[in-house]
Order: sequence, then structure tokens, then C-alpha cells
Amino acid sequence: MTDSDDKHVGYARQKARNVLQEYFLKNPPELLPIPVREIAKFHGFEIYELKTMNKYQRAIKQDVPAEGRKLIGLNANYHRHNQRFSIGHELGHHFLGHPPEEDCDEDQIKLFNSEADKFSAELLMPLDMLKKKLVELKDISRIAKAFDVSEQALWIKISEQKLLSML
Amino acid sequence: MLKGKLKSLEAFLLDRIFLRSQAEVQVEYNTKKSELVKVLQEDLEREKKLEEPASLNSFGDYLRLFLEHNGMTLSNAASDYGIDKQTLVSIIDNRVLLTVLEPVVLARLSMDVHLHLEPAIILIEKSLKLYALDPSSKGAMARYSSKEGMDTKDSSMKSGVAELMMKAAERKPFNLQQQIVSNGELKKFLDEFRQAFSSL
Repeated sequence: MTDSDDKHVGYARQKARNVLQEYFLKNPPELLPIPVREIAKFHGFEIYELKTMNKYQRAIKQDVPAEGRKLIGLNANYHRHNQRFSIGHELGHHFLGHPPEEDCDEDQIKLFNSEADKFSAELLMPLDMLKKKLVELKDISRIAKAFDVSEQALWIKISEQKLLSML
Repeated sequence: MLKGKLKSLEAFLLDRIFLRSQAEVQVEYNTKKSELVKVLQEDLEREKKLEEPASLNSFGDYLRLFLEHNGMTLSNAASDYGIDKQTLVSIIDNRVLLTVLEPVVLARLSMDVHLHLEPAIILIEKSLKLYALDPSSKGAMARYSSKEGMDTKDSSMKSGVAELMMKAAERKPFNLQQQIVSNGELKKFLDEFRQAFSSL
């Protein structure tokens, strides 16, 4: 990973922390699991479950600026954990100011999607809360349940944040 | 279509097995096998959608899936169903108001593509709503699960955005949305469609 990549990831995570801070300031108490649907609604997003998307697409975000509406569609065939992560991912695109896909080449789409994933992972599993739970529970399955995320997403977060030694 | 794929896999094995090293054959066999699995999965996904026509976005979506599932080209369909190719394309892309077609033509087409009366009516109504919304995937972003997601993003994005806009309009109509067909016109068209459907 280059310095530039590190900065992008750091920025995405910091943005996620700011979004959480703003939400919990107005909607205490700060409890787990992170209410990602409510956070999206708090920021004016409407969320719908969609049945017609193919299995390779998990979610879409479409803004309708002329109507002042922001829409997120979730592939209804995916598990709740996946849908929660997808909401975080689409919020990531929004808060990180990513341009629409038609203005991007394939490499940019990959980069922006990766940033949105980092944003989502931090939103759903904030680093400080994750460290506390690792000390308290020491068990992947119980920690995943506490955050209402998949064990796979949790493993990736733990590994990326170099927290394996805390287990 | 699947039979053809299986046959090509079999032919490939017979053709290659004596000419190449085992490793080479294995690599190509695995590639062909994963292509076949992908085709099978897509076929199953289409079949599942065709079994629940009312959950699709439009009459055109159903027609497109039906033709794909049955390996029919537009030219085949045009000659089999007695509708010109351009009209079929416009129906598939939802670029034509279905109420401008003769109810009997649409009823015959519905029967030809194995669509029952009630789902056909639901799809006609959805097509009209979608036509009025004129959704565009411009400005949309998506989350993909794999490289295939990027490869198929255009078609999936289009249907995803169409469904998203329709559901959003159901919750709260868009200000810019226009009523193109009046309730009276729609009722008259559907009555004639029902009548034509029952008489065929």
C-alpha cells in the first residue's frame, strides 16, 4: 500500500467517524449495533429493497437532485449483514464526494468502491468500539453478533487494522 | 442453448484430449466448466424471474427475459408473433406507450409469451408508470460483488434504477412525474385488453 492509498483510507475512516459522531450527538445513546439504516434516514436517504438486480450487484445509489431526493436500493436477495454493509458503502460514496460511475474509468471505480468499503467498515465497526469488544469478548462470533456484521467483514476489519494480536 | 454448451464441452474434450498435455487440457476444461456454470446460473436466475412476472419492472422486461430464456432472436420473435421488429424493440426498451398498441395485438403477444391475464395487466400498468418516470441510470453508483458485476453493470443498473424509481414514486410521487394516460383511458384500454384476452 502506498502513502497515497494510506491517506485515502485514513480519510475515508475519519469521515465515517465524523458521520457517527454527528448522528450520536443528536441521537444518543451510542449503542451497538450501529443503526446504519437510521443514520442513512437521518441524512435524508430513502431505502428500498429491490428484486430485479442481478446477483452481482448488491446495491445502488441514485440522487434525484431536482426533487431533493436521495435513494438507496438494496438487492433483496442478500443477507441483512450484507445489506447493512451496502448501506454504509453507499453512504461512503455520498460523504466522500465520489463522482457518478459514468464519469469514472474502471480503475477509479475500483478505487472509489474500495474507499466506500473502508468507510462502511469503520461506520459499522468503529475502531475504538472494536478494540473494546475484542478485549471484552475475545470471540469472533460474539463480536460479529454485537456489531451485527458478518464474521467475514469482521475478520477483514481486524486484519486491516492489525488487531489480530488482541484476539 | 444449454444443450449446445454441453455439446461444445464434450466436443472440446474429445478434440483436445489426445493433442495436448494433461495440464493444458485441465486448465481449458476448468475455464469451459466455469463458463458453463455461469450460463446455467444465469439461466436459472432468468427462469426464477419469469416464474414471478408481476415482480418485474415492465412488460418489456418480461418480453426480453422470455426471448433470452428461449434463445429467440428479435427477427424470430417478429416473424413468430406477427409484430414488426422495431415495435418489439420499443416494447422491450419501454419506449412506446403500450396503450397506443391495439389491445388485441398486446393480448395475443401476452399469450404467445405465456403471460397470464393478471400478471400481464400488472406489467402493462407498471410499464405506463415507468414510461412516465423515464428513469435514467445517469448519476447512479453501485456496489458490486465481483468482476462479473462490472461486466453486467449496464443491464442490472438499468433495471435496478427503474425499480428504485418506481418504488420511490409509490411512496411519494415525484413532482416532475406526469400522468400521460388518464385513468379513464387506461380503464378503457384494460377492459378491451381483458375482452381480447378472453376471446383468443
